[in-house]
Amino acid sequence: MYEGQTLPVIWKTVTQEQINRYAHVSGDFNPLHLDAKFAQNGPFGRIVAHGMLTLAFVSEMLFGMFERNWAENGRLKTKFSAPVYPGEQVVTFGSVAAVERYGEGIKVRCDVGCRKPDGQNVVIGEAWLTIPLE
Amino acid sequence: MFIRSLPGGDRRKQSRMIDKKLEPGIEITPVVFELDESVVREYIAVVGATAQAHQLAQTVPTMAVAALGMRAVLQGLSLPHGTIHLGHEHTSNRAVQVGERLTCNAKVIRRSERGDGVFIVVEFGLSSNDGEPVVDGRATVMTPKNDE
Repeated sequence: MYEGQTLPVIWKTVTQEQINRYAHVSGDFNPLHLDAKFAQNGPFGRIVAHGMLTLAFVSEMLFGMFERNWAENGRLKTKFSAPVYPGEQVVTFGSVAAVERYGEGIKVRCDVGCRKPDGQNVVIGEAWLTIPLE
Repeated sequence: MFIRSLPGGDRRKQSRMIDKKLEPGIEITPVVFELDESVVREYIAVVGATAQAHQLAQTVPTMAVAALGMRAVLQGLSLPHGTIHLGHEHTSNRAVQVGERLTCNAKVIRRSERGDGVFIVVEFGLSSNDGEPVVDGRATVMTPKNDE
């Protein structure tokens, strides 16, 4: 683990079917995500994906990198900076920003997020976790 | 996902039902969630999480737990249609196992108005049956001013 190390990226294409299923599994039935007519009069002019769905991709990247440590003590702080529309592709990004000794382990801070292929960020933030030394 | 409200919720915590504005201090009635295997599996299938790793460890993806917190916030505060999620943070205190039952509490801690929107910050926490904090976090949402 070293500063500047990049996290493995994850590409996703968000579909309306996925958004519908996410609504059911999360219980978030906000019509901005589900009802084209309602969303047309909303701030984005069309249906957008749940921010928590996009954020799940970031968390998946962190789990892929740090495995159980991420589930046990991870901290995530993010902003949703742009909407994701059905049919759009997004890719996660992340890099290790700081590594420091912390008690019997190391504390890691990462810059993380998710963006569209044209470079527009849709989620941006930081993640922290502690990894015990073996 | 199995979800139910605790019986006999504190009347003060149900003030959202009668108060028009989401003022700081308003709390939701605690909500109990049971993370049964079928729904965790469905969550993993939908978001495409690293299914094999989670299934081997019998752990629930962190974001599935955080999503429960958001669900309690949305429903408990009766946030209007058109609410936009602007920011999210959470901290895991331990891994959550499939089959666990968690209780979610949430409270409005900040409210401000800007333009046509009302910006609300809500703190939420999920704890185990014995009161151990499992996940806590904070969500920032914007609701349309006239719909609050």
